[in-house]
Amino acid sequence: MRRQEINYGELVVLGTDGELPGGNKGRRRSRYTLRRRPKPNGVTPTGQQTFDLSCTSPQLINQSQLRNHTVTYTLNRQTQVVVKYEHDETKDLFQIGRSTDPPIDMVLIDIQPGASAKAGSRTVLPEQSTISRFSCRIVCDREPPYVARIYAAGFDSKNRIFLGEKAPKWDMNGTMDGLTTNGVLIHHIDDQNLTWRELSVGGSVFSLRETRSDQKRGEFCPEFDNVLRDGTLIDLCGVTLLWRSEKSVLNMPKDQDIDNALDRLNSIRVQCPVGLSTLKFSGHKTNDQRQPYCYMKCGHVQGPCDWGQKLDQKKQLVKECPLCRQESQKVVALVQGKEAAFHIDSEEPGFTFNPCGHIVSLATAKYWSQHKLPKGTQEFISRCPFCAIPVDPARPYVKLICQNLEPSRDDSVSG
Amino acid sequence: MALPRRIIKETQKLQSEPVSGITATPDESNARYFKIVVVGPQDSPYENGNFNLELFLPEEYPMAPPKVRFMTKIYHPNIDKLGRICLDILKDKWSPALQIRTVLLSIQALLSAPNPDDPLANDVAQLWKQNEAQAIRTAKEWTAQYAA
Repeated sequence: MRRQEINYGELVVLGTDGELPGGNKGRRRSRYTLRRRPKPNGVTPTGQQTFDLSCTSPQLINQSQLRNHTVTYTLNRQTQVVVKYEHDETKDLFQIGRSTDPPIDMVLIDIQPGASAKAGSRTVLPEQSTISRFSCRIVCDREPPYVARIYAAGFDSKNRIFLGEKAPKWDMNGTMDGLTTNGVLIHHIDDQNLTWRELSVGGSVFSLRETRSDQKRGEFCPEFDNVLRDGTLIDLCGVTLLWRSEKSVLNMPKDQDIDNALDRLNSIRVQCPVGLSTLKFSGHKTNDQRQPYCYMKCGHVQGPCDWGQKLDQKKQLVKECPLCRQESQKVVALVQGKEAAFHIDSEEPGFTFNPCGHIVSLATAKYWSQHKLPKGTQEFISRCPFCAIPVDPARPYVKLICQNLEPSRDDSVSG
Repeated sequence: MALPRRIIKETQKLQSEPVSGITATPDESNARYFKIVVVGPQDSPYENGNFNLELFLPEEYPMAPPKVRFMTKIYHPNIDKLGRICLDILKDKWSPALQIRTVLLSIQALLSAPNPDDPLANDVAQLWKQNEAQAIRTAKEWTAQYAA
């Protein structure tokens, strides 16, 4: 009899809409399901040893650890502390990073804002990635309730994690711990302050460093742990991941629900007040007359229209809405965000993120407008989850105002 | 050139759901040219009058407004003796979200509420302001004479 398949949860890359820029290939995907492995591959720290390099040859150290996973902390040229990890039957290990080496389960690339919207075009990858090759690891309990914990740094092909002289590191109650260069940040949705914190190699939680790669660590936060909960966000400096627990994966909107919500919006037959034709909302931008556009200032939805372009008082190019004459700096093509993991519910997509034009339900718009994601190394801003384009802080989303097929008897337009 | 979808739709709707007091008939040989009859609104000096207008949709329509002109002589401060109409939506306040229907409704409203402060026919506007009773009398006479 086939053993029942057990999933621990899913990781979804923010700023993607179903696939990575350049497409999903092999271990390079926008969504990765952590499944219980046929054979456990977990490891657990079992103790640490200090080596004096002046009297022990590095080769000897390597040989003594050949079979084990190790984390090496270089304190100075003479001294290394090695934490030894042993096989743990009760846990599964999953690793995430930029490297395509075999130990990495989910291979990541940097996500550029707006890259997901350019379907079909070849995406130019950034020349210099800021994502670590072995960025982080997740250890899941193989038995219920399948607790998943996340740690900074991943083991390389030789089962090693190596923290150099410059990495922040410290000894806490006889156990060495440290931070990786660009750090792994975590944001728990149930944290009332909506604050980002940093994870250490040993899985402890700290307040953020003064700068992202500062050599001094933040304050220890013993009240927070490294357990992944539904909605937890993980930032790997260049890419941000969303954790959806298995329970919520089962309950969250399915692709079909997202399609149905779109069908409901299309079923009211939204009319373009200029072309007098029915507009069609979809998951991708089209170049025909049925493509809906939103005037971001007022929220009026219309088809493509070459009218009303002018310079406002500040000499900025604006477009006047044919319906209400308000001037919008942005008139944006509306496209439904399809990645189901980013949807909070499957209500009608009657709102658009401002300014990217991804349409979502009110709950989804509110949710992502509340949560701030790291921008560069210092700032935190809200972004559209489907394309990573920052939302306008003053007006993160706009309610769509659509004209129905049957206008009211008084169809005059206010001037 | 083929007639834009929008003009076809507008024409169909004007005929299936006409505006009360207004008839609009497209010319048989030119679908962009309409013969319009506006009935003078109740309680206005134009009551009981049938006013003929012509409406033409230029090539750029709806990005540019329709051209509308009174064919029937009318005594009105915002309509001159050539039948040209002083109405903002026919000029700088035009918007492509407006339609033939909305334009005709606005013209009907202009007959109900003449606006001598924004005149086109200066002599009419002047009389309207100085001696409104006389102006209204003249408007009624013209209506009986030309629009009956």
